[in-house]
Amino acid sequence: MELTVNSVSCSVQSPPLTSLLTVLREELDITSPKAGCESGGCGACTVLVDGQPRRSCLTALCTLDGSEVVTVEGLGTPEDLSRVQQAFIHHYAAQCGFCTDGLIVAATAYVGGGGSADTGDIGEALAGHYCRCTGYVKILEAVAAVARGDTFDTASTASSANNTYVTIAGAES
Amino acid sequence: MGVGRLLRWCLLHAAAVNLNPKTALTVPVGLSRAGAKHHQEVAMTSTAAVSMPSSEAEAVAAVTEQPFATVLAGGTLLVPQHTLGQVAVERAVWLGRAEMDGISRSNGRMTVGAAAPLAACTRLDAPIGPCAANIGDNEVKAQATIGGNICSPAPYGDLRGPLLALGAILRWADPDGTHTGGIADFTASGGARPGVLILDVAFAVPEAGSFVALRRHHTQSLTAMAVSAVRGADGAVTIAATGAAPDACRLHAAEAVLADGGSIADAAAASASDADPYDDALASASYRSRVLPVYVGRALEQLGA
Repeated sequence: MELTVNSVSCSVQSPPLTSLLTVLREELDITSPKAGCESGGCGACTVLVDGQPRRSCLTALCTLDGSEVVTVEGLGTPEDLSRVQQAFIHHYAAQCGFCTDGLIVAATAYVGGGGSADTGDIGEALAGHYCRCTGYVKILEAVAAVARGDTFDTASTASSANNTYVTIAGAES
Repeated sequence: MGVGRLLRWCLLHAAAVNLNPKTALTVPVGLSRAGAKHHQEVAMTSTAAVSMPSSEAEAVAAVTEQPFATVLAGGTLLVPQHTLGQVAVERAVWLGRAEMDGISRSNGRMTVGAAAPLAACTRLDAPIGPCAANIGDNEVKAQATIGGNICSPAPYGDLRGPLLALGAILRWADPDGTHTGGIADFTASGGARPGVLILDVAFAVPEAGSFVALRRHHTQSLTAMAVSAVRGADGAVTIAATGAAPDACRLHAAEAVLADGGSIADAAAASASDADPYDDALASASYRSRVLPVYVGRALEQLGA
């Protein structure tokens, strides 16, 4: 099975009914899609498949031959964050971070599709994503800022980004 | 995970690392997270073969040949069940290329292919459209299909209510051939199982339709109760509910009250006689009993009965 993951083509060996989440985390060691509920209900495993947000825990590998998969690792780098990533930092839209990767991926698809800055529209688009820290207001503000076309102070963002790296022994994933 | 399963998983994973080196990706496969791993043992050692037919006829042949195949449509229920080891799949048939997702209207009847995604069904008139819109979230709706929803037991299977109210006719194939019948007929024939494939569902476009559901918080993807009402071309009103009984049910007594010229309040009060309230994690039987007449009344008011 051939997949393109974050612009890197790779040949995966997992059995055909394996979920994309399992393939990403266990075979490719890409751990940003989180194994939360593993039944499609929490949104933490969301990735882009051919540009559309998909629940990787619900998606069988066999349905993806030739598809392009993008996880949050493929959206930006610590030195060159995507606008949604910058906005999440700028608006303090991440707390524990478990839901953040899925939310950033889904928000990227939302604003990329011309989504409005209306928080009602954003809330509807992101309704399948649970933040157990209940930090929804900041998340909505961040996505609205990107949809409005706000610019973010890259120097300040970079500084903030550097400040977000906290190493906790034993918690590398 | 028990110690035995954990050890077996570690051995399997170590073997996978040795046998499947990844040359294209620079990230190494690490064993450092082994203690956090779970369920994947089942999926990663599955030997299920998956065929991908390119037409309905090929899909029927692939599903009904021995050994009977499990249908993979959207996968929103099958894939997580497979991952968690809750279902054994010997052979699967994926419908994604079978061109069974069409939605068409002809001579006053709608025909919806079994593989039509719920996102497409949201564009249909009530009660189907708003019911489909009420299921899951955008990502789930983009993937889940109407056929899969019909095959899913409570608390899933939301569309069984609207389809009952519409008097929808299913077309399905099994090793004995192709059959047509209502949802109750499909269920009585044995329902969803390996070797059975729903092909499409058809119904007369109603004069009017309505759908009301218990509101749910966005973190709750399941609906405890919903009521669908339909007024047909002959003016007759049919009503069906999900969550009033273990399976979707028609509310015949309420329909009879309306047919006899009774009021919405009287029809709502009569709805209890067709219900079989039950307890589950979403709602108690007592609660279901109390809200059913309320939602029947709202559905009928929305219908303009």
